[in-house]
Amino acid sequence: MEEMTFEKAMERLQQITDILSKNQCTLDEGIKLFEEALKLTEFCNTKLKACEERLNELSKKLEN
Amino acid sequence: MSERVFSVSDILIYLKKQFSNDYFLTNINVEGEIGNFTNHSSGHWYFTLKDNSSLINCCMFHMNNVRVGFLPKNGDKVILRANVSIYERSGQLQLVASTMKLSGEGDFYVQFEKMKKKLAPLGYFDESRKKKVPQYPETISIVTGANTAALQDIIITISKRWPAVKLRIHNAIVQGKEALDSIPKALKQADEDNSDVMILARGGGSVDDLWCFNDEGIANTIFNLKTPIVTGIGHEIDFTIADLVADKRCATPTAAAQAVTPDYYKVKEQVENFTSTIYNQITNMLQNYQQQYDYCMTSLSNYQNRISNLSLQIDNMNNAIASSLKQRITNASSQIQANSLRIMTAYKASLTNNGFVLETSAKNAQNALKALLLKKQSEFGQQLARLDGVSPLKTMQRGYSLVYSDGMLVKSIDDIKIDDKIVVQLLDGKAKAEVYEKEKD
Repeated sequence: MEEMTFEKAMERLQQITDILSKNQCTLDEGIKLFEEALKLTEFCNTKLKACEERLNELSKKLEN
Repeated sequence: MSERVFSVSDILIYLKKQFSNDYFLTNINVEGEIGNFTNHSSGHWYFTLKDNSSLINCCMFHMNNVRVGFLPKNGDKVILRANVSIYERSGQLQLVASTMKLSGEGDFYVQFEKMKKKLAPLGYFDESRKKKVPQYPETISIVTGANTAALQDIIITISKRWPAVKLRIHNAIVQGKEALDSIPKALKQADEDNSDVMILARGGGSVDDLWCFNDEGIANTIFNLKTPIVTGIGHEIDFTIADLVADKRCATPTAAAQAVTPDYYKVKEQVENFTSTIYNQITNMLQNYQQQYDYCMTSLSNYQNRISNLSLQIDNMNNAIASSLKQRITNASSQIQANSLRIMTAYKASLTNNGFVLETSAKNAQNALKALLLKKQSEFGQQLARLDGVSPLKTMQRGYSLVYSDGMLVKSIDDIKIDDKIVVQLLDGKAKAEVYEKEKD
């Protein structure tokens, strides 16, 4: 399986939003997409958390 | 003899003519620094051109200065293409300029244009071959001068915007002749990092300082990179060949750092939006399905009622049809009975009539038969009388007899021979005899 990146995750989230907003899927497909979207947002949030921690570290460095 | 006296104008006109005829004083390049620059309301430019020791008045008419492309200012070093001339009204020597370019930069510009013309047909600047700069890089390679303000600006900007990204820094000499080898080398090394994107940056400087970025070798290296590259060279006004070949050009190193990184806070917001949008979408979807289901159920229920009504209607119709059919059968049956009776009566009447006709016919036939019998009887009597007249018995009564031989009537003497036994039939009996003699008449 291709390695997930933040870029791909955001692209896929956009795709899922488009599909759902255009009603282009069945209920089962919609639920699957929702599940996928939850995993993707979890992945993105993990990355963002890492960003935030690093940001805090850097801020502390700057303060010192 | 009186000496000839010239007017001032004569002298100046003469001198002007002399200057214009002098090959060495027309269409010459003169370099100097601009002073007392006046952009007159007529559109003409008036200024002085000086070097360390001398100064000359200059003018550049509107028809020529419109093509210069920049507005000179005092202190600019320029090269004029001009004619040396005399301004008759003040008798001052002046340069009448036809073109003006900034010294030094003018040559750079020509070289820059030449390089552009050379590389453009090779597709170096084609938008179609430019690589997409990723929105959310995980690794960024940076090529710039070691310990430079540009590098610091880039690192700080990236750290603020997208802090989790990995940075790979490749130092290069970014000025002078050494840069021509150093920059391509650093770019190639950075390309080996397999980063998501790379930055080529240099802080501001003179045209001369940035000139290495117009080098063909650097352009070639940039063109052949597999990693997307963003440049941030000099300031807003600086445009180099490297900028044109790069996948994206930014005005400054800081701008380049911004171009390759998303703003963390905006991304965070975006992810939160995605989460709530997708949740809302799926909830809406479920609600829609629920509504559709409810609608279907209501429709089905209505449909069921309709079917029940229809069923009732059908039953009623069936009953009506059955009863109507029964009535019709009864009617038909009684009609048939009535008809049968009528037919029987008619038949009987017909039979009676026919019997009468038959009886009459039989009587007629009987009468006719009787008449016929009488007629036939009378005819028979007559026939019998006639027959009796010609009967052999009658003949025999008159004494004739019949002779038979072997049961055969003998009609000729030739029918018998001597010793034949014959029978003689008489009217009232027969006699057997034997021929002992015969004689033919």
